[in-house]
Amino acid sequence: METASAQQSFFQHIKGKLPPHISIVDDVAELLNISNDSAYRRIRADKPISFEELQKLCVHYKVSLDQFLNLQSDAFIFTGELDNDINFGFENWLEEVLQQYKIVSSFEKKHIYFLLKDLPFNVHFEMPELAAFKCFVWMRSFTGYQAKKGEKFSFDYPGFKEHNAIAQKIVDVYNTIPTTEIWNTECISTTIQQIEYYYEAGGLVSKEQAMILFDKVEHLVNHIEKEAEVGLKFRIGQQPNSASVAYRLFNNELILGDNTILAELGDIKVTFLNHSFMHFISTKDEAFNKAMFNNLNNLMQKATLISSNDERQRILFFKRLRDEIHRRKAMLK
Amino acid sequence: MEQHNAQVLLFQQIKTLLPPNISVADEIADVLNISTDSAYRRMRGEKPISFDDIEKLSNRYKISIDQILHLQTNGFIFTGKLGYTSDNFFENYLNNMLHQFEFMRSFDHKHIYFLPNDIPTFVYFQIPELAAFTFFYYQKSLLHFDEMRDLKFSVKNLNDEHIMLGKKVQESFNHIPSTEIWGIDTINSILRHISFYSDTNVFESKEDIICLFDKLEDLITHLEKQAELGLKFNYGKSPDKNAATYRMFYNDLITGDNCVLAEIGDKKITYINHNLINFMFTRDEDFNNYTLETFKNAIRKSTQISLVGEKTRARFFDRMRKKIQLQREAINHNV
Repeated sequence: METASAQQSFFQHIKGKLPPHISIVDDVAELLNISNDSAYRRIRADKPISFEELQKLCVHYKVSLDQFLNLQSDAFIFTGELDNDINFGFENWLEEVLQQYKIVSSFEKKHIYFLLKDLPFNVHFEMPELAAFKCFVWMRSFTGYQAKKGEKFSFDYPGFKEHNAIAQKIVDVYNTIPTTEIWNTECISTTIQQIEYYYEAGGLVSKEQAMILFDKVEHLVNHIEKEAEVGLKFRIGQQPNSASVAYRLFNNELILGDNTILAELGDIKVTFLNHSFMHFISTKDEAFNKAMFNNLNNLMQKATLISSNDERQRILFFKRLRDEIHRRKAMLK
Repeated sequence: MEQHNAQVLLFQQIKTLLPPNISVADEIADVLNISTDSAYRRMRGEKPISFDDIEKLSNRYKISIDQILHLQTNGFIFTGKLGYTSDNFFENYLNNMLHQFEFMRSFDHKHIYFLPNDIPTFVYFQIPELAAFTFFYYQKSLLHFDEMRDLKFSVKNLNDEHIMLGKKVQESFNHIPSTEIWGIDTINSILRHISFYSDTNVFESKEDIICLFDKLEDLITHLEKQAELGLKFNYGKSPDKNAATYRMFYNDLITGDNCVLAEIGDKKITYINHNLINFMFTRDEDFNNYTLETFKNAIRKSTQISLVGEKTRARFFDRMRKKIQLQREAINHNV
């Protein structure tokens, strides 16, 4: 891109944002406090715009220069919230998850791919006890979280009702989106380790609570097995119906996933990368998403599809998960 | 904000991206195709830079102009490679890694924080057989190179050039003080790869598998020594007086995600692992400060096992060895 065309394109971009009846020359002249002639010279790129002018224009017309300059080659723009903002609390995080799923769900053509190292975080919301426990763990991972002295885990901690209300909405929306998940037998380890950790760490989780949580994890695994068997998503304790969407589950014995999510929204793809335990940053960068999609396809080709078919492999897979839960539960006793 | 302040800030940011021995003015003059004097005038904010200059500089140094102008976005710029071809994979992959470490080394203050999900790749590079296996796995199972389709692995087929380059990467890494947060499952990945390749007859012989287990045990012993002394040194050697510090933590709550945070001078860089093999990095200040807080939070929930914590350290490495032993027995039983 040449000097003139970069600056000209910038003003073209601004022009595209203005209602047709507004003159860009008048608007820019007024904003920069210059004559119409001076505005013309800048729009034609006869006169370079200064940094200060650039800032005023970007703020006023809500232009991201990074996106406009389309940082080339090997740069990608990711977006996401960080919880170091005092206004971004745990409830906001839950609302953000709900919002993202709602956006995906609003498209006619939609699909989500998960490359997992842990259970998909939202499946824990299927069971109130697991929802309470995971929220307890995640809140503690927020950088600004201050635990109250002597605070212990409770299935009905203050604030749980509000959190669970959002969590249940997440489950409802999530179950409207066809999904493909790539698992391995270690996907349950993190949740199990967290139960053990908080049981051992000064008894923040009591033995009775830990036992209940182990049972609930098993219950959840049984439900996911049922979903895999019929290849459909539905709520725990219910049956699939005509509105149920597809559920594909792969067992990849070679590779440990990294909790990457790729969402298809119509013809657009969005990759969500996991960082800092429970946060996600996302990109709509086409090249990045194409590479991610190809990678996921390659991994699926090498993995075993255990939903809908291959009963033997599916039974074996879920048996291993249950065996591990029983083994760890026995160690707790 | 004044125009020239933003401009000066842009050049200050560029300065932090360059190794300390590089003249910023010469570099800018080269990129913008102007004289060094003209570069100085722009750096001091005496002469405004054009839109074209901004574009060239932001693309060259992957700088977020939005941030310089304090535009309200919640975007972060990440930079990294997306893919490799089979003909230049090793050179590009290893040289890129070497370049990153050498860049960090050029600063007086440098430190790497690491939250590994599996044993960091470059740690394998100090033992040729493990390096060769890692390279093989990358090409066959992560990059899916066609020519690897029917290839079998043997520790006998070592490529000296790649091994040498890998060792250079590891040696460079060893000069940078680091803090690593490991879990007992950090070893699982490589054990899973060996097991899978054993089940699918990818090894040329049983001796290859035995050799890998032996070398893996050697590596664990080496890491234990490093943790005991709190110093980094190359496999088979002793730490010298300039050895970089090694802080190792054990964590059984958090599973790692291979996130890396590098402190260089008064700046930070976060590296995020994606597509299993690639890393992308950002110099975004907010993001990096947040990553540092995340590491501090993880450290608070972890037990230090370098220099101190002998009992926990001994148990931790013993559990690693037991995992290797269990896998060894399982494979012996099946092969």
